Amino acid sequence: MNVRKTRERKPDADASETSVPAIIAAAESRMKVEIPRD
Amino acid sequence: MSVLDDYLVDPRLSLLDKTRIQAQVLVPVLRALRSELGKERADAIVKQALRGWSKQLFAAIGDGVDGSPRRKWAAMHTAMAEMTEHDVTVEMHRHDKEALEFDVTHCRFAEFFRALGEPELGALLICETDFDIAAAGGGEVSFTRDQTIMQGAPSCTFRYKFAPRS
Repeated sequence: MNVRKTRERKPDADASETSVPAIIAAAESRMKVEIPRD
Repeated sequence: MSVLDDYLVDPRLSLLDKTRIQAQVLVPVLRALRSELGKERADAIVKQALRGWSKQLFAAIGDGVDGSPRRKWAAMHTAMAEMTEHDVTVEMHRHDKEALEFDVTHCRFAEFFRALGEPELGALLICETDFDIAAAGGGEVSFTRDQTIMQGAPSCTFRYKFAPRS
C-alpha cells in the first residue's frame, strides 16, 4: 500500500525533531503484512 | 498470481473498475426492486444476497490457502491491500506483531458510491469484505472498525489484533 503523507507540516514545527520521523514512519508503513510460513 | 485472482475475475482489471462494472448492473436492479417492493424490503433482500455471496466467496478463497488461520488472513489481507493501494490514502498508527491499526483518510471507492447515492451498496461490495477476510483468521485475528468514509465519517478506522503465536 502506498502511503501518502497527508498531514500538513506545522509552520512552527522544529524540523530537526518532528517532521523527519513522521515522514519516515509514513513511508515505511504499509497495510500489507508478513505472511507467516505456517 | 494472487490469492484473490478469482475474486477479481481478471487480474488486469483494477478493483475500482471491477466495482464500477458491478454497480452498473446492480444499481438498476436495486432501484427496480425498490420501486416494486419498497426501499426497506428491497435493500434487505440485496443485503442478504450480497453478504451471503461475499462470505461464501472469501471462505472458499481462505480454504484454498494452506496453513493456519493467521496465514490465510495475512495472504488475503495483503492481496487486498495490493489491489486497493492506489485508491486509498492511509495513516498508519501501529504495525507490529500484536496489532495493525490504521485509518483510511481518502477512499475512491467511497467517493464513487457516495456520488452515485448508493453508499450502502458500496459498503456491501467493498467495506464488508474486510470482515469476511478477517473471518478467515478465526480466533487468531480480531477486527473492529467503528466508522467508515462510506458511511459518511471522515475516516475508516481499521483495528486488527493478533493472538500471540507460539
